[in-house]
This record gives sequence, structure tokens and C-alpha cells, in this order.
Amino acid sequence: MQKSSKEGKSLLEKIESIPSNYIYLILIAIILVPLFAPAYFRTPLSVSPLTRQSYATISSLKAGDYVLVGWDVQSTTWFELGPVMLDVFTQILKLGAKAVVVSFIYPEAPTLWSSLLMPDLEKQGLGSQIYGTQYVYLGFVTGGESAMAAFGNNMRVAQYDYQGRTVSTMPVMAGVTDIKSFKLLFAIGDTALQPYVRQFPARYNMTSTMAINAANLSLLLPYSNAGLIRGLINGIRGGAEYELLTQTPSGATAFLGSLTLIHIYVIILIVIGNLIYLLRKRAGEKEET
Amino acid sequence: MSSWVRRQVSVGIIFVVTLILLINYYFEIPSLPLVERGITDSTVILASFAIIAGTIAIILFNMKGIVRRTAEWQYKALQMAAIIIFVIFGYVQTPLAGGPVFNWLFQYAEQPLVGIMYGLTGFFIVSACFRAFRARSIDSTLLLISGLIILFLNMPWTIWPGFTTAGRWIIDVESVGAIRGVVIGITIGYIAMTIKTMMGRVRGILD
Repeated sequence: MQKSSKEGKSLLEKIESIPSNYIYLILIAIILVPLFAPAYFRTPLSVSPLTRQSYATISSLKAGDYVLVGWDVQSTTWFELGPVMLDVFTQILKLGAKAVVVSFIYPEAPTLWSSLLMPDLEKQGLGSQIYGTQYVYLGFVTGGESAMAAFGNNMRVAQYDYQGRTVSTMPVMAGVTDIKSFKLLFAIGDTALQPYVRQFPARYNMTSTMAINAANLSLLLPYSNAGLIRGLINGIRGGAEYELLTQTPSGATAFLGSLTLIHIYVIILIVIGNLIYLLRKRAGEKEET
Repeated sequence: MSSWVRRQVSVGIIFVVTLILLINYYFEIPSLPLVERGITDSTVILASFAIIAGTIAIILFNMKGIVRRTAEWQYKALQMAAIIIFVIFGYVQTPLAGGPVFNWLFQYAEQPLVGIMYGLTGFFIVSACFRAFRARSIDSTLLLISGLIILFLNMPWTIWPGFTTAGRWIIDVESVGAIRGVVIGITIGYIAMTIKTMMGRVRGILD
């Protein structure tokens, strides 16, 4: 099977040394094609127990209940968590619950809110139409976990919303006296969620559910197993599962076809790469004997 | 004020503040919650000033590089131009979250660049899957098999339920167990560092 270098590369060597450009081109194709023709790439989706638990926790909200929403998404995770936030926040508002949204970790969160999230909420009639009466966004409170501790002690550390308007006069704040006014914490982000667990569920025994990007899911699983978090939405796949439960296929579901193909592609690459390695190793051992 | 006195004052403040916060957490002493509230509220104010200080530090660092024409000074000039443009359009229209021009710049300039940087890692990972993930030893074989099972678990389309069972076991038992150990270790490290800082034995922060 092995040929000498004078006779050129063997088939296995040629496959192994294929230029990366071809690998990247195939990857681009399998990402883009399902986005343009989603009907041909519909895949069955199973819903994980963590997403079901999150859906059940949020569905238990009643009209008038207060939800504290921790919006700590940054530009890098917007693409994965933006659709999830839209789905969950829309459901919270449609249930008639009231929301106080705040950011503690990433200063760019208010800009993501105003430039990317609010336009989508406006299209659904959940933007400026009900802002101030059903929800308010307090913007970014500096200080990270210290700011969370301060907010838990005294909510007046955030007296203005993300556009500088006083919140105390807004109708939505009428029923909020302190941190115990909130029935549920919904936090969305990446590694920024660990301080939320320490400061709210652990300190005030607040029911909480969270959405995190897939790469950092393991960080929150110990807290979920301990009962501090009731339900976890796992990135874009979790968002698609949530859309399946709410029967509103949207942004996250649109990525399912690409997600499936990418997984299959990576598995095929790993298997082919290792097969070639094992075959070349065996051929090399045979030559030696 | 001599450096020794300055250092002792810093250590004293850290010691007293940390002690108040710890005592208030574990014991119910009247009027201490008010003191704790004052301390935690003041951290929000200090953090805001820290952001201002950090921005000034970045501006000074970049200006120094531009004036002295250090290596790649052109990128520093580009960074300065971006800071100035975003600050101007952020404050000219509204003081906080920005107006239409600011949002346009964020959505069509900053976001695509961030998406590119983050997306590039996907290409490197795919290339590594083909060239680097090899079953060269027992350890790497076990790692590879675990990785493949997790890939099958995370795939939206469930090919075989056995992958789901095996994948959940790997995550819920092995991965969570390891993460628990890491979190406990980090927490013990935090406690040790806090005690060292209270005792004034941390050089870098206080000098």
C-alpha cells in the first residue's frame, strides 16, 4: 500500500494531506444550503429533560407575576442566544407576567438590546407598545457580581432605565418593593451566569431557570443537579427545543438543518481521519516486518 | 504619607470591609445590614470610575504608541478612531444606549467583525477534527470515543437512543463530577486569597 517517495504519495497520503480549503468550502456549503432551503433539511428533534424543566418553570408563571431577567449576552454569543432570548421573553410577556431586565457583566448588553432585540420585539407588538407598563430594562449596572449583591440588597442602585429615564414612576415598578418581589429569575449568558447563581438563587432562595451557550453548559450542571436552577436551555439547540414546546418555530429552528449537517460532517471527518491513521500505521508495521 | 503607612491603611480598610461583609452574612446583627448596603452600593460607584480609568488608560497607551510610531501603530490609530467615532455618536444622539447611527455602526460594523472572529474558530476546529484528533494511545482513544458520543448526543437528529443514554451518563456523571471538583477547588482558592489579602500578604495588589 505504501509507495516510495520517488513514486509519489499513496492514496491515503493524498487524502490525509487534502488542502484545508476544500474542507472549509464543504463546511460553508453545509452551513448555507439548509438556510436557503430549510424545507429539505427538516430533522426530527428530541427535547431534553432540562429544556422541558425550563419550559415548565416559565409556563407556571401567572399574569402579574414578576420576573427578574438577567440579560448578559455579548456580541460573540448573540448569534446563539439571541433567538433563545426572543422566544423565552416573548413567552414571559404573553403569559401576562411583568419583567425587570438588567445587565451586570457585559457593558455592550444595552446596545445589543436596543439595536438587535428591541426591533424584533417591536415587530411582535411587544416593544415600545408595552415598555414601561409590562417590562423595563434597567441597562447595565457596573460592578459585576458586586453590583448583583448591591442590587439584591437595594434595588435603588438602578434608578434609571437603559435610556436614562427614571423607573420609579413607571407603572411596571409599582409592584416591586425589593428582591423578594420576584417570583422567578431568568438569566441568559455564558460564563457570566455563575455569579447569578451565587447571588440570587443561593442567597434569596429565588426560583431560577437559565439559558447558556452550548460550550459552557457543563459549568451550570452542578447547580442544576443541586436544585438551584430549574431547567437549562442549551444554546441554539435548546432554543429550537423550546420553540418546539411553544409551537412557534422561529430563529433557532431555522438553524437545525445546518446544525445536524455540521455534526454529521465533523463525525465523518474524525472517522475518516482516524481510519487513514490506523491503515497507514498498519501498513507501516507490515513494511517493517 | 510613607509607603508603609499607605500599605497599612489599605490592608486595614480591606480587613474591616471584608470582616463586616462576612459577619453580616453569617450573623444577624442590627444595623450591620445598613452598613453592608452602604459598602455594596459604593462598589457600584467605584466600578463606574474604574471603567472611566480603564478607558483613559487605553487612550494613553494607544496615543503613546501612535506618537512614538511603535510596531503596528496603524492598528492603534484605527482603534483610537473607532473609540472616538463610537463615543461621539453614542453621546451626540442619546447619552446611554445610542441612537440610530450608533446602532447602525454597532449592527453593521462591530457585530459582523465579531461574528467573523468567533466564526473562524469553527473552521479551525473542523480542520483539527480531520488532522489532529487521532487515537494514538488509550487515553486519546477514550477521549475520542467520549467526544464522538457527545457529538451524537448534541445532534438534533437522534440516530440511536443508546448514544443519548451514554452521552447523558458522560455529562451527568463524569463531566459534572469533574466540574464540581474544579468549582470547589476554585472556591477554596478564593477563600485562601481572601485571607491572604486581609492579612496584607498579597504584594501585587497593595504595592
